[in-house]
Amino acid sequence: MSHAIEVRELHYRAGKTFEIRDFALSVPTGSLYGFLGPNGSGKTTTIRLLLGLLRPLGGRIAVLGGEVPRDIPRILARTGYVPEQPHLYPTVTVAEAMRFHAAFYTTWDWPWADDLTRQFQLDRDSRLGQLSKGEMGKLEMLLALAQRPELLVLDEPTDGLDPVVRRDVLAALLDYVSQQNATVFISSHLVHELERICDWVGVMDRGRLVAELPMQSFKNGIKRLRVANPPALPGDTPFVLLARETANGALETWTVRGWQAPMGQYFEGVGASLREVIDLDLEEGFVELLRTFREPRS
Amino acid sequence: MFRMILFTQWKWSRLVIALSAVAAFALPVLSVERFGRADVSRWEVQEMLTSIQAWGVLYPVLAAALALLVAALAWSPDHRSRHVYALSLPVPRWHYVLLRLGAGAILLAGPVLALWAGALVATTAATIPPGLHAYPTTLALRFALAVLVAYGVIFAVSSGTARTAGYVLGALGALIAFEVLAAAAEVNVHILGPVLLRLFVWPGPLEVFTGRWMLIDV
Amino acid sequence: MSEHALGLLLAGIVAGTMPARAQDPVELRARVTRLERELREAEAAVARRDSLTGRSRLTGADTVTVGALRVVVPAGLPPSSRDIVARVWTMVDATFGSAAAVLADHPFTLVVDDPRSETRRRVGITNPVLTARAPEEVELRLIWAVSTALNEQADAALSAWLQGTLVPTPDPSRERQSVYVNLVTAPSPAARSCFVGELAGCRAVLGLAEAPDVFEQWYDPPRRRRIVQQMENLEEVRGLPRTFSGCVADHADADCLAVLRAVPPDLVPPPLPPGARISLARTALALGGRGSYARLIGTRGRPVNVRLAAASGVETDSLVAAWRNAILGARPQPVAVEPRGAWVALAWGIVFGLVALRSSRWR
Repeated sequence: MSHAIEVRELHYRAGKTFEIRDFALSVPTGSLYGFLGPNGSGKTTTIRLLLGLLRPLGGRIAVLGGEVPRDIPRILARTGYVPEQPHLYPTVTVAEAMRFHAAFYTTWDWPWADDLTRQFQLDRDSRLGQLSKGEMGKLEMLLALAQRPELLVLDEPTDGLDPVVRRDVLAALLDYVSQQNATVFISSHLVHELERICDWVGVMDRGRLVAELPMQSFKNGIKRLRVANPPALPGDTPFVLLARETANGALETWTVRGWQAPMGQYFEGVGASLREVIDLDLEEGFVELLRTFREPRS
Repeated sequence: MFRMILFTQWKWSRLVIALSAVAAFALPVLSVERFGRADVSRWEVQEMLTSIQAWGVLYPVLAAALALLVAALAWSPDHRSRHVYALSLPVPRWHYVLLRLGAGAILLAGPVLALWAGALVATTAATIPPGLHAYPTTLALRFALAVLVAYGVIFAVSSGTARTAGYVLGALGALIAFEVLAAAAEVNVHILGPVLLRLFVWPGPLEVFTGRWMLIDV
Repeated sequence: MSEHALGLLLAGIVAGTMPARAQDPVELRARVTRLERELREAEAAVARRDSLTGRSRLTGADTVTVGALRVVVPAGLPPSSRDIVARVWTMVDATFGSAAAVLADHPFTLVVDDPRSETRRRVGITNPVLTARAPEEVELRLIWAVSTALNEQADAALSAWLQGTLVPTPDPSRERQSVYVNLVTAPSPAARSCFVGELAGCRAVLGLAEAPDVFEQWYDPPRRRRIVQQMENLEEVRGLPRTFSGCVADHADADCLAVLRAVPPDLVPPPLPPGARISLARTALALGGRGSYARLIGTRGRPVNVRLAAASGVETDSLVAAWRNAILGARPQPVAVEPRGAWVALAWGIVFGLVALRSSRWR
């Protein structure tokens, strides 16, 4: 499997409190990669490192086959970027912003840009400083898409947008991906949003990558089990035991990762019985994952 | 690409450019305005030169102010967005800086040409006594060089990080503070003077600002 | 006169220069001239008296003689003093020629102007030349002292015309440059006409005109009125209240001319400063050769233009034309951006541009 983004042993420090260390990430080419993490976990910093906006202390970053920062102009020419905060010049109009952006990208698609302008109902003569947050979000997405990139890096692209705008933006994104087979790296703390569109997920917390796996595995792999007569020491389990809570008396609730149905035999082997397997949605799984990462089982 | 960079820079600094162009045109015209009037004796050449010399102080001031504003405005929108957009564009950093540098330099040509035109108009309209000569082109050339140097200095500082600007300002502040403290302690050590001397005396970078800026002289 | 008396005199001079009634340049100029004359007389009196009483002689001094110039050099002055005296003599000889022979009777004594030194006291020293130790200072002071002594040979009429001291200079072009600027900027129709080539104008501004009233040639009526206004506090003017008022209040030019005629001629500022006449004299001496200064001072009693013609050996108009050509030829460097300065500015612009290009993408 080829990777649009590959990061190895990344090291970066910002101030005295925040550090990214031994960070590794692999985004398969053509995937829609959801980059999850709570606020302040380091998602935006990681994205800036990927695009050469920040200088890492160590490690290796490869994007679209090029090395960062050595090949950054070539990489950026094939990458559409929507940053977390609006970054365009507020004194220019929508049309001028499009002309300015187009001047830097040989792949710029004017007909499609015009289509998107109509689709997003953007007024070409409005100054960017006068646009609403939703309009600005749509313009940023328009600029990123109309350059027809091979990789889209979207940093909380729908954060703060109303549901209608969010739907428009995501629809345009999915439309583009379906046409171009582009890779999308999208960060968000809105788990449900990614659950619907992403096929890979990476979870980041406190500067570390907690998990990285296909969305399906993530969603199916984390379960809550009701276990009767649980063993005092679980011993060698075929799944990853994330948490263990006493429910009432001899009944316990286990949160596990990597669960598959045949693993029920384990409980018979240790004299316990599995009463119930409860599916967790992505958000519950995400919360459980973070909780166990922050408070490791002793 | 350069056209769009030039366009944005024009948008940001057009007010400054326009006002400077007006000022640059008006300065030479105003400096000789009263010498065409009937109530001024045509023998008062010394007064004429003194007045032109007094007006001449404004040329380097205008050059410095213009360069400062155009260089600062070339970068201020990027500074405000913390350079995220500029750095996410697919050009090497030096290329982007060169585009901005060139765009600013082209915009500065406007006020320089305005000064040249104003100086030509002023010297054509004024009655220049025998023995005196008009130097409109020399004045405009000198103005252009002063603008260029000042623009280069301020552009270089603005293109750096906030830390770089901090170092430059900090060094200046430290020099002044040292001078003040030394004077207060009655210690006969001077650093600021020699530093300024290096800057303003040939071949210092700011030498072009010094001396008399005469539109009309012997 | 004792030192104490000299001190009192100097105190009086200082008090006399204090602002009293007016600060106008004409009156101040008159006062300065009078005080300078008094100071010279006082110093000469001190020197005469002290030489008679035989007080104070320099110890360890050396006498250097070059040509007719004899200089007593005290110990402690630079060893190059002999070279300095030689240079001074060369310049003096070139300017004053045979007239400089009188210096043989006037030895000069260099006196170091050092507060810690006893020799600072000039008592009993003939022709003292107060100087610092720096060789260029010694040379400058000596040449001034020698020139002043030689200028004193001139009669009052010549001195009054010259308005200054004729001092040899190795580089007369600076003086001519200054005269050029004065000629161009003088608020005078005569100066302007001289500049454009009318020799009558040149003669007028140089004080050589034979016309009875040069003030009409020198200035236009508004300028004459302004000059009269500045003479308000002169004694001669205070005696003409009606004429003064007619000039200043009623703008009657005839009254202005009457006031100007009434005051001593040396109190009316000429259009050009003394440097112009000195440069003319220098031109005459250069044209006339070694005996020219002797002829200039030897023709006393005759008009200055005739004396200058005698000194130079050419007609007055030829002399004035030669002077004008020399002045016009000394036009100062026109206002220009020197190529060297332009290239340096351009280079600095490029250097700062290159510094900017090295701006890091890391924020």
